Formats: sequence, structure tokens, C-alpha cells
Amino acid sequence: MFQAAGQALALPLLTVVEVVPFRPPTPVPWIDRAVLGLLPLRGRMVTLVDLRNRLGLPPRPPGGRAQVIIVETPGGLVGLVVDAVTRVGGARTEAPRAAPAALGLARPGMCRGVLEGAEGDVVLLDPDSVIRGGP
Amino acid sequence: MADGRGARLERDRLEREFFAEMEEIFDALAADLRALAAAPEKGRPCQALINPIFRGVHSLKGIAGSLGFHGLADLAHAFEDLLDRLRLGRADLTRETIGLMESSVDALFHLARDVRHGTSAARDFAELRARLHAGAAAPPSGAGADPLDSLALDPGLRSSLSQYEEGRLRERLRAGGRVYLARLRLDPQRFDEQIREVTREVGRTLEVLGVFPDPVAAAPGPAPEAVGFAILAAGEAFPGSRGGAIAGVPVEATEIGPALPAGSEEGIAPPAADGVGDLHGLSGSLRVPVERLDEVLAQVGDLSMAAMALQRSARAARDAHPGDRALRDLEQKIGALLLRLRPLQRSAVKIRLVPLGQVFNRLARLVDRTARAAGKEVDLRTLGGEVEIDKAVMDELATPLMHLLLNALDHGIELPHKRARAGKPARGRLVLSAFQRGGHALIEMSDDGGGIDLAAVRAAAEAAGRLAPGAPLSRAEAHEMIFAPGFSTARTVSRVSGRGVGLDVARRAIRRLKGSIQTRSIEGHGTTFTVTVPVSLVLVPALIVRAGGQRFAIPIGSVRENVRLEPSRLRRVDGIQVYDHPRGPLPLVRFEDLIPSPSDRPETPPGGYAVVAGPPGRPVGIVVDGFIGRQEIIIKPIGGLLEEVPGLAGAADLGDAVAVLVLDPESLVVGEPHGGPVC
Repeated sequence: MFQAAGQALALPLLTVVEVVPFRPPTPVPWIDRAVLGLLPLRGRMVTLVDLRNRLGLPPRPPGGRAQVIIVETPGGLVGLVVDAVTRVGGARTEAPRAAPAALGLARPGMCRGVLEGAEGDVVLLDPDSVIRGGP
Repeated sequence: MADGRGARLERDRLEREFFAEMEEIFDALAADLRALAAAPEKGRPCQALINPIFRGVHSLKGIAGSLGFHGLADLAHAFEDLLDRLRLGRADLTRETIGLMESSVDALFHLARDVRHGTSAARDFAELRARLHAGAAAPPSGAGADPLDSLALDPGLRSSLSQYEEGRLRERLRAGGRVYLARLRLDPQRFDEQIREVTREVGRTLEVLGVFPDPVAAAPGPAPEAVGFAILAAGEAFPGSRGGAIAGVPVEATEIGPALPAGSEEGIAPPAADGVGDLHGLSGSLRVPVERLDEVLAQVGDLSMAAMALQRSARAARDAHPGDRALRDLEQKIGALLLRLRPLQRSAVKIRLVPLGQVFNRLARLVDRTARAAGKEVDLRTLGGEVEIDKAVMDELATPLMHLLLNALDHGIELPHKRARAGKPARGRLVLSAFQRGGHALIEMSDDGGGIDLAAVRAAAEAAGRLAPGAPLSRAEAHEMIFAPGFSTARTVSRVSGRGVGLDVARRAIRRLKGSIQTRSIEGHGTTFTVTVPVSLVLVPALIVRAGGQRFAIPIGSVRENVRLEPSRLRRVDGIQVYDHPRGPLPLVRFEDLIPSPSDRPETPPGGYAVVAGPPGRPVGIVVDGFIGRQEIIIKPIGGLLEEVPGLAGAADLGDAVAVLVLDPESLVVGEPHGGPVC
């Protein structure tokens, strides 16, 4: 579970490889703004994707700390840049319930639903559509 | 003398390799014999199991003979005679025969071990040889009219069957099996791999007797560019439905043989007993799965990175305390460590290299089959099979080489009567040779056929609207034209080719490997294709440059030259900056224009140099601010999200934990400098 722009979010644990602190990546030309660039990690290249940008949230203020959630995909390693990772663990509810429209997320297609976390509702994201930028 | 010693070393190396191969053959023979011995419990020995044993003994004989081990070769020869009669159905396979075969393999193994260890050959196998000769002379059981005539076989296909295949067909029919012909429609870029998969699937329930080229019916519709092959198989039931798909390939199977009640052999029970002969190995070689090698390579790379980071720390410490002798000593020792790591990295890359002979052997089999089907006689000679390239490159080379081969067999080599008229020997000659030049391997495919017929190319080009009638067509242009997609000079589609697909597919596959292909042809005399590919795609010498505030790596093989940009020679044409190079106007590419730059990036002065690189015939000047140096890099793939980005080969870590983009100049083409991909 993690945070971006004050929004509590979550990803299914199975896809996550590890979490590392953010380092400025090497920018890559010609691609959409959400892809920040490349970072080497133990002999492999990780493609960094800015989660705020993907979700249509306002950009991170400069100087803010950030962390990267590294996910294994068929196309290689992808790192999702988030503000902070809050915890790793189970949510109280088993299956996510449908997200109410009032949440106001710009990209509803990337959400699988809402879970009940320890401190309130957490939006469960769909890793594939978040990475690809579309459902 | 240096010569004598060199020759001895060479011979030692050859011997070691041969013994490694022999060891594998013995392992396979042991397994095959176990399977054969277990088969009788199913009711009847399975004839088809003889074939791999025959091949193994045949290879053994060849190796032994070439090394001068005549005792071994003679015994293998006698054994081979018996196996030959068995597999052609001319001798009976009984329990006694199987026992004789087991004794023979045992004998061969011990003889080989004696030779390897230099112990005197005190064994005498005269009695065994006599028994083998007796067994080989046994009369065949049963005879009669040729059951093959009752099969609904296309005469062309029937004539291209080898003696062995006919023997197997007869055997199957005698056993009451059914014979099927399955027609496949394959993707031209992957047909090699697809054939293997389908053959494997079909082979689960049927005996696959042969795979033949099968011209695709020229019907309009989806996938007009498919390549056609047909599988001849016999047994009981065809796997799955007869019209449908196997392993994703559209298949249409028809039964062409008599539908007698089946009595065919089933699968073989897994062997339980121990192997033949001694358990100690013959040689000092190992077979290793490729994934394990890649792991080692990745780990060695990581080790290098860690060592370089260590070196940086040591340098920083030394700079902070310049007088400290201990720190200076530490820095030197770390430098020495790094020096040792470079050769380790190179060794790890070399492990992945495999000899081209592997793909040459497969091509040789294809030549045999295809020439027969086309009614032509061809001799294939291969040279330089020991030249090694990275396994990944080799895997991708097989399909383009096959396409070139099919092209040579169809368009190059003429029919025997035409060759006679031209004063050439009836048998066409195809030479496949390889040699190494620096970081590249050159593979030449040369035929002594009719050469590229300029008139035919012109006629086909005009007919297809690619060339205005009467317009000039140079030889070089004609040679380039034959690679165009869909272009073909064939008036009829033959069994082998003619769709205009092969050469285009071949060249694109070679380009994807960062290689190239050249054509040399003389009408009436023959054609030579020269394929150049890098030996390794992984460890590549590269030029490290600085541009737009970032570092980039450009593979040296792509670089033509470096020029210093004189401001007076710069001008703008259609929004693109062009440099007036003595050899012609050179479009320039600047990274600042392409990478979205954050507002806090320092302003860089316009670059002073350009690296000239790019696709053949369309050079591009990559503007750089300066040169950092030359380094051997390991190109890492950059993943699915970035696949669409042109001009990038991957990224590399130069040792300071920062990803440096590696350019692929061949896919860089200059277009609009602002807004959107440069494509």
C-alpha cells in the first residue's frame, strides 16, 4: 500500500519484486510523459513510470522524496514511482468493492475497486493497465 | 618446431572434441537400446527405433576413421551393416539380434576407452564381427507386390522419397497402419520453428516419415504469403481433428493409405535398467543449458559493477587523504582486481559461442530433400563450420539462411538438361562457407547456377509496375530489386519457392541481427550471397559520447567516421539541419531536440562534432558535444514499454550505476525535429 498525492492506493503483492528509493533515471526520448526513463538495478534495466502522471494526479512538488515499486512484467522490469510506501500486508476485506465515483480519480479504468485498509479506504489498482497506460 | 607443435595441439583439440561427441553417442545408444529391448513386451519390436542406433553407429564409425582408429572403425562398420539391413526391413529383428546389438555397443565402448587411455588394444573382436556378418546376411521375411502403389501419393512426392522412407512406409502398411499427409501453412518468418513444433506434436501418436516442401495453393485470401510444407506420417490416429490447427499452425490432413484395422506400435515404456558399459566418462566436456550461462554472465557483470564502485570510493578516499600510503596501496590493489575481471567477463561471453557447423548440418539436410523434390541434382560443400557465433545470433540466422538456400535451389541451380546444354556438370554445386573477420562472421552461400538474370528481373519489374518500360536498370539496382517484398521472377510457383517472400524476409531478419547481406552474381555462372553478422550481440565495443548533457553509447560497428562541424557548413533545409560534408549533404540529429528536457537542465553550447552513422545509403550525423572514450559494453534490453522507440538498441551500465542509452543508428532516420517521434 502506498500513497500518491494524498491518495491511498494499493497494488496486489504478487507482482511486486521490491521497493527502492527513488534515483533520477536516464530520460529516454520520444515517449509519453509518464515514462520517466531507465534505471539500472543489479544487471537489469528498470523502466520508471510516474504513477501520479498515469493517474492524472498533480505532479510531485520538486524536492519531495519518492520511492519506486519494482514490478516484474512480461516485457521486463517496471518501476512505479510513488510518494511513499506505507505498508505491506493484507487488507481487511477479501475482495474489492466497486469504487464510488466520488473518489474523483481521472482514470477509473486503472482501478480494480476499493479495499478496506487499517486507516480507511484504499483504492486497489490494476498493475497491467497502470503500466501500459490504458485498459 | 613451431609448426609441429601447433599441429599436435590442433590434433589434441580435435581428439578431445571427438571423444566428447563419442561419449554423447554412447549415452544415446544406451538409451535407444534400452527402449528397443523393452519394446517386445508390447507385442512387437519397434522398427523405427533402429534408425537412431544406425545413425549413432554410423557417426562413431566416421569419427573413429577420421582419427585413424581403424580397429574401432572396422567394428563399427560391421555393426552398421547389420543395422542397415535391419532398418530397411531386409533382416529380422529378434531377441537374439537385440542381444547381439548390445554386445556390439559394449565392445565399441570398451575399444573407445582403450584408445582414449592409450591402453593397448588387447581385445579381439573377431568372433563378434563374425556374428555381426552372419546377422547381417539373414534373409528378409515376407515379400510381395509394392504396397506403396496403393497410396494416393502425388508422383512428385513419391519420387522424392528416399530408400529409407519407402522402407518405413512399406513396413507401416504391412503392419496395417494408416498413412496421413498433413499440409501446413506456415509463417515465412518462423517456419523453421513452426515445423519443429508441429512435427513434435504429430510425432506423439504417429511416426513422422518425412517433411516436404508443399507449394501453397495460389488462392486469394488471408495470409497469401504463407510457406507450405507437408508432413508424411503413419500410424494409427492423427492427433486432434484433421482440419484445424496444431501448435497454432493451420493444418489440413488427409488419409492417403489403406484403412485396415490398426495394429500399430504404441509408445515406448521408460527404460529402467542401467547404462551400457562403464560409468566413467570418455572426455572432459560438458553440456550446459543456455540459461545457466546467462546467469553467470549477469553475475560477472554485477561483479564488475561492484568492483568499479569500490574503485570510485577508493579514489575518493585517496583524494581526501593524499599523503596516506595505505590508501594509495588500496587503490592500486583495487585497480589490479578490476584488470582481472575484464578477461573473466570476456570468458563468460565466449561460453555462449557455438560453431556455425550446427546450422550448416541442418541446411545440408534441407538441400538434399529440396533438390530431389525439384528434380535437380546438387552437391553441397561446407567450409568453416568451426567458426563460432553467439547462440542467440545463430538461432535467428537459421531461417534467413534457409530462405537463401531455397532461392539458390530454385532460381540458381538449373535443371540437369539445361546445365548440360550450358556445358556445366549435371550436378550443381552449392558452397556454404564461413570465416571470421574481427567482431563479425561472414557466411557465403555460393552456387554455380545461372546467376541473376537481368532480363528476367527487368521483365518482372516492368510487369509489376516497379520500373517504367525502357528505363535503365543497372546490375546493382537489379541485385537490390530481388530483395523487394513480393518481387519474384518466377512465372510459376514451384514446389520450392516463387512467392517473392523469401529474400525480403531473409534480409529483414539479417538486418535485425545488425548484419548485412551483399550480392555478387554473374549471368550464366552463378550467384554468391555474403551474409555478415556480428559474433556477439551482447558484448560490443562502443564509442561513448556526450550530447545534450547526457552520455550515449554508439556501437563502433555502426560508426563510419567522426567529423568536426564547421559552422560555415551548416544550413537548414526543410526544417532539418544539414551539414555540407565533402561526400554530400548530411542530415543532423540533435538529442536536445528529441528528449523532453526538464527546466533545470544546464544550457549546453551547440555540439562541435558529429558521428556519422546510420542505415546503408542514408547516413546521418549524430551531433555530440564531445567524446569520452571507447569501451566494451554489455547491451541490456530496455523492456516492452520502450519497444516503439526507434534508434535505441538498449541501455548499458558503464560502471557508475547510471543507465546509458545505446543507440541503434541503423534505425535512426531524420524527420521532423520537433513534436513526435523521429521516424
